[in-house]
Amino acid sequence: MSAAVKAAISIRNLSYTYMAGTPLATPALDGVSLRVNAGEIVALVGQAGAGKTTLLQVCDGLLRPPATGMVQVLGIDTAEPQALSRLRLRVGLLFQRAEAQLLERFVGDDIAFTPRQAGLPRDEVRERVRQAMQAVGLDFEEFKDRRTFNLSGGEMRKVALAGLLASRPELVLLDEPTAGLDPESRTSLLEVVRRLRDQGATIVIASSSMEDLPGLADRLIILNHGRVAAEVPGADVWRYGPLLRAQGLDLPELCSIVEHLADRGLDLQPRSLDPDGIAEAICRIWTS
Amino acid sequence: MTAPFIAVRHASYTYPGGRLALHDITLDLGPGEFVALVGRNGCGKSTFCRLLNGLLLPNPGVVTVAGIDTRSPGSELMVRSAVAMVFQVPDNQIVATVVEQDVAFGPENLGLPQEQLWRRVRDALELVGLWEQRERPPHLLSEGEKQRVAIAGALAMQPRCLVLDEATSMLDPAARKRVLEVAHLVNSQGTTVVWATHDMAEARQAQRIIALDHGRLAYDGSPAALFTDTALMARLGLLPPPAAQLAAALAARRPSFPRGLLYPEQVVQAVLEAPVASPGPLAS
Amino acid sequence: MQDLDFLRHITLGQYFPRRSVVHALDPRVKLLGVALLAAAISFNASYAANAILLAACFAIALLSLISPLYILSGLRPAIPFIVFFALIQVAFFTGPYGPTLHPRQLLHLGALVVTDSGVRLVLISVARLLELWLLTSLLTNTTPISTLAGGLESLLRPLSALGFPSHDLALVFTLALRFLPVFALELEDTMKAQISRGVQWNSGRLAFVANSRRIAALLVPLFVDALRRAEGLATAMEARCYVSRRRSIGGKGHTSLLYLRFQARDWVALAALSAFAGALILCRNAFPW
Repeated sequence: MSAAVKAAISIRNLSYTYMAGTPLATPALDGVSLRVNAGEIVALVGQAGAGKTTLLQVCDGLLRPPATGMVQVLGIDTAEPQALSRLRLRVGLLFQRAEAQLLERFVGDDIAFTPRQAGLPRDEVRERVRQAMQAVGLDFEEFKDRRTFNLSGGEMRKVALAGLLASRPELVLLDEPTAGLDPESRTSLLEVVRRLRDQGATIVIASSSMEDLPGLADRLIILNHGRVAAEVPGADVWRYGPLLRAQGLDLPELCSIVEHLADRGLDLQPRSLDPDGIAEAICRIWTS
Repeated sequence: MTAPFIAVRHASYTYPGGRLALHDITLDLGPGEFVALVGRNGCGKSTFCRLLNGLLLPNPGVVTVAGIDTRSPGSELMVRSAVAMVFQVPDNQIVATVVEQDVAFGPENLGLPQEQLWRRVRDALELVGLWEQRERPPHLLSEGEKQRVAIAGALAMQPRCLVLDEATSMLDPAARKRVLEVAHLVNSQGTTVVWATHDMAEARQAQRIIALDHGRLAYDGSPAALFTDTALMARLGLLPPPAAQLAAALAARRPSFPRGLLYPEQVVQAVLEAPVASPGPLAS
Repeated sequence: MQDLDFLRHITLGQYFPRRSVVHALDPRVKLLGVALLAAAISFNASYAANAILLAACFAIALLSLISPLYILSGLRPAIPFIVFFALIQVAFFTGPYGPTLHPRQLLHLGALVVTDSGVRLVLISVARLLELWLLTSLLTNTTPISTLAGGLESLLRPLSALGFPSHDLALVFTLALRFLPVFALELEDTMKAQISRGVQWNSGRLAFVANSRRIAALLVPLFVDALRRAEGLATAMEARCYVSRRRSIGGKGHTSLLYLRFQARDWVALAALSAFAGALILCRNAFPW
């Protein structure tokens, strides 16, 4: 990666402790250093409690880094007092609990919140809301006047995501976006993520499950007890089975199949880590 | 032929607002079975689960648990101690501020004498592996541990059937595995397990899958037969587990490839054993 | 922008396991003790009695092996409010209060009149706040909530013979305190999520007026969530055969895992607390100062 590629996120030696200085102090991050380049999709993986949520919230500017560490997001040092307000429109964070993010009584108003807050003209706000709802698969007419608290869990997640999209952020942070979703919703959400990347956004996804990530993420950063344990490329994740297992993570099922076959001498070179890509690679070996 | 433990006959259910959630379901659940319940969101899985322990009463239709009609007044105690249920959100099942006191909640409501209460609490917590944590407050536990506390609370009722309504959907993979292990352990001791889930990798571990589609019974049979029926899976809005998807992709390209494979190990084995078109650099 | 994790720092409702005499006491003694001491506190408006009471509360904390200053540190966020109201009180209160039957003016600036009875009112109010805060914190710091609930139910049991739902009440008490940390974390989460979307929270202690509108935006999601949780919880409880006292379950009542029985030290503690509180209440007019 040439130095000329801009860093969307640059973190050096970040340690974070909740309620530092009190008897209830809980360390969350320990000496984390990482870099996310503009336009990448990076996955933060790790078991529950590894520090993924804390790291995302630091990148969003919600948690201020202590003096020892340096966190730069989109070129702005988050320790600066004005960092949070300067980053509001440029960074979007999707919380694990969708209900926590819903502010307004009606769906349309809620999705419009951040652009409105930023002072954008009414027509533009409306257009953004419409596009955002379309992107997540919510019918504009049907949902814009629905009450936010009457929605189902999956619908709430979509509204929260639309609210994030409406601000057209350069950096998108997703905290366990597919947790608890049924397969159809999960597929459509991943589609939204792909489209976002195609539009040039940088995306960081935190996930405790490895499924869906290999075909999506360029890189996987593995967190363990608040430390960066390893970084693994997304395209051939299956080569890193032992390393992932040492961190308490399991390879996704298809990757473990590729890994087993490689262990038995079948060196597949799958073009993609989905069933068709792997089947194709296997057939190529068979007919070679 | 053993008598069914739970018999569901032409059960339908409409919510008070008018939404028809279940339509004319008829099936039997036998002792010791491990049954997976699948279907897209809103298909009626949760409603069906609640018919099994009398939280909801069928109208029309009948549900009998060990011969007792769930609609008969005063049957709640018997039915709900025979069929125990675990729900999706761990926190919303835990009542007490100390783990062991929460596990005792159900048996306390049955009016059991103190000695029995302690014995049941101990047995249940040991089964789920949380006996060492019995004096901890629930808010300091992880989601997975909380859910196991909820399961212990259900097991303390000594039920003959354990119903888990998407009990793992809010858990991380490691916690899911542990909960699934507990369910299999309980099942191996003779308890019927009904496992409602979105995750086909979990569902394939059952001997029997029941699939619901818009409130109707769409499938009742083996996992392998369901996953190979692509048309039905599409209608149900489901995808087979990844290993099965790969097997299907291979079978589409190579008609001689075995069908109905569910697990990664099976697929790996079949790939290695498959006859090749021409000799190639294959080491085994 | 301060870090938003202050909401995790709640001493109220937190149980600190220790091997102290206070921890070992029967919960009923502690409940009655708090009630007796609270009565003694409300009856006494003299400096002397409050000094004794404050010392007593500190002593109980030390006997519980918990630092009284740590408990009082939980009041820190409230200090600006306390100072604000104290200033208003002392600036305008002119009537008699407690032992000060004839108030003397200490300061006179136009409409502002500071009297010694006003000063007494403020100081005694603050003392009472500290005493009650210590007592109620210690109650939950030394007793798990479920045990407290069991004690409460046991105390109310005579009433349940008359149809009073003492078991249900004890359960309500347990549930409220069981979910306190859950909602605290949720509130913190909601605050962060809203700030992340661009909600402006003004920092600084006097910004609470401007922030009050935003507080509504915080509390509504919390309420809605609480109602949802209540529904889920009710279903789970029903599934575990919980039946409210209005109906019987085949004649059998419920039993309890907890076994509460008074021991010698409980009687001693109860006697000591009753004597102490009783003396302070009976002699409330004996303190001239």
